Amino acid sequence: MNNLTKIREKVALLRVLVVDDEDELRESVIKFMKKFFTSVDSASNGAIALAMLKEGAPYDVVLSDVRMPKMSGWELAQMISSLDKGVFIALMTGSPEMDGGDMEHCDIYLAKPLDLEKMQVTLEAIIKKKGL
Amino acid sequence: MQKRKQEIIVILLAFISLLFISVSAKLYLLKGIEEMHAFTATISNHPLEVSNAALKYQLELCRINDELDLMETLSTQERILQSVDIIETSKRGAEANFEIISRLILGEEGRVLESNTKQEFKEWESSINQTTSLYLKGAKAEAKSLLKRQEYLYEQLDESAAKINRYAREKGLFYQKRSDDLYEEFKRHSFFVIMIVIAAFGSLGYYVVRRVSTFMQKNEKLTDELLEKMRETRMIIQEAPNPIMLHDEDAKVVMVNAEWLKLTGYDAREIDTIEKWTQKNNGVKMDEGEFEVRTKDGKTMTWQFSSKPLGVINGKKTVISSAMDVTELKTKDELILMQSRYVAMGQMIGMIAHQWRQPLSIIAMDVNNTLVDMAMGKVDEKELEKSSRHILAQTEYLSNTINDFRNFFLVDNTIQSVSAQTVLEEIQSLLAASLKYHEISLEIQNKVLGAIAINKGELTQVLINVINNAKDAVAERAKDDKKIWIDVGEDENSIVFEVRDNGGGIKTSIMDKIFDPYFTTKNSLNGTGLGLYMSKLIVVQHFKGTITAQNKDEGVCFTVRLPKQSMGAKDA
Repeated sequence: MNNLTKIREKVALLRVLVVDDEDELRESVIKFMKKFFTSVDSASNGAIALAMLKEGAPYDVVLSDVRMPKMSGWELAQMISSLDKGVFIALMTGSPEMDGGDMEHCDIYLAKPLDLEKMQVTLEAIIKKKGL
Repeated sequence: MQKRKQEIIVILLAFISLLFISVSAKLYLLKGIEEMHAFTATISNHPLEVSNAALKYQLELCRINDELDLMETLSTQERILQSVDIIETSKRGAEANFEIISRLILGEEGRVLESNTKQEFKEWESSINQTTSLYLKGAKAEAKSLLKRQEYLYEQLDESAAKINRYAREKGLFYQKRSDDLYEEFKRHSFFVIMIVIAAFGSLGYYVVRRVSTFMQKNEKLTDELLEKMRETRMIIQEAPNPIMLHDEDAKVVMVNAEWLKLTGYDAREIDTIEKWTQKNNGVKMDEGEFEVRTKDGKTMTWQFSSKPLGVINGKKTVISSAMDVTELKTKDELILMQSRYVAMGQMIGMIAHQWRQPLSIIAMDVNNTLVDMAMGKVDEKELEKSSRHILAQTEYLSNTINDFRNFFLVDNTIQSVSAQTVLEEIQSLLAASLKYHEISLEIQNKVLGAIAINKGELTQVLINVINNAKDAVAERAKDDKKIWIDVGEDENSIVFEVRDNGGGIKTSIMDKIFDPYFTTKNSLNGTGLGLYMSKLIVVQHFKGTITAQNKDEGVCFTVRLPKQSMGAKDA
């Protein structure tokens, strides 16, 4: 547990954007993320998230659902990557076998639901990318 | 038929005409004979009698004249008296003959001759009377002086009598000639009439014989053709690939074909009556529909029977029954039915998976939140209660969904009165998650407000199959506005469900195969090729309706047409 606490301390100040079109699930994910990060924002689809980033909102981590109307998680990852390669992009899906895609613009691909174990792996990857 | 009647009428009229001509000819003949008879009678009686009488008359005159000449030489009174008697007798003879002449003489000329002669006879008679009385008185010299005049009168009278004789003979000859002419003319006419009658009868006879001969030839040809056709029909029935049986009104089997005997294993004599055939099949009478047939070796087959009256054959009403061996088809149908149940179950599981994915994720997130709090030693009782209630709400939702699916999947054969709106809402609820997952929007427009009597489960199954088909077509396309439209409307006879999509449509080359069993264009994961087949089966066999597909706008449009009559549609 000490390890988790240490990790949490390293990432706590990173700014996180959660993107999901399902309101109820998005709220659960935000609640979950808030246990690790102090600043967690949300967007209900890829277009809103991209607009927020373009407007200059400084997000370090974007956690997005893959399957969303209009713009998929994979498309959003590609756009964010073209804007800022420093943003850690995590994609999550309810059906990982169906929704796979090009990992070039994605830092980690997670199967729903998120749990402590998956979160630990994700946080370690964030630390590694950000050099914390 | 009309032509033949006309022909018969013409022939009858021809015969009647001929009969009329023949009778007329006969009557003409009778008239001719009558006339001839009259002429012959005239010839034989009148002129000849007149002629004979004239000759006899001349003879009597000659006798009187001779007797008068003789009286000159007679010396005795007694002899003179004898001569007078002879003269008187000859006079009476002459008068008697003249009477015949007067009575029978013909023609104006004859009458004039008769009248003149009569007059001359009177003159001569007077002279004779005078002469004889002088002789009787013995005055021979005075009597002799009268002889010259008397001779003159005699010659005149004899000449007149001779004229009558000639006249009568000529008349007789004329009548004879006229009779001969008439007879010849009649003979000629008769011959001519006979020739006409012979020609007419000959022509008619020839025509009738020709017609009868043509008719017989035709009849013979038709009989041959008929026999050939009968032989062909027998062969067709005998060699037909389906079992066929013909039986008459006495339930006697007239014919049973090779396929029937081959499939059942019976000999024709073993099933030569309907009663025998029925007995072999546990007394079940087979006329229309599907029946179990027992073969000779005890096997059971399913035959689809159909019967139809053939009319009267050999004087008896005959019925033809044909059957189709559907044993294999039935097994196949049962297999397809079973497979389609699995397909429906698979579809349901797929829909449940979509429906449940979200609430399960939410439950898992709630649990994970608690676990993290526990791991961090930050468990808040209020937060825990909130989370638990949230989980309960989600499980209740899961429970409700499973009930919906279970209701849909229950095999329910009941017909119930239901509104189209209810069916559409249930379908929307069942498919919502799946459609959302595929980012497909569903637009429903319902114009049917009345209730319809239908098996709701089957109607739902048909529509879900069609919508799933549309969903797969649309999902495969990389399009932003993936859409499915359901329009429900009605016309005078039907309620019409239209399911359209913008999934790009179906290739025309495979359009006529999409309702075939096991036909699919999808990969094995999505398609079994039974969804549309089952839909068609239900629509056609259970609802007595139709289901068709055609490309429209950007996609395909499935039209399910359900007849109101079979659904007992009611007004709202």
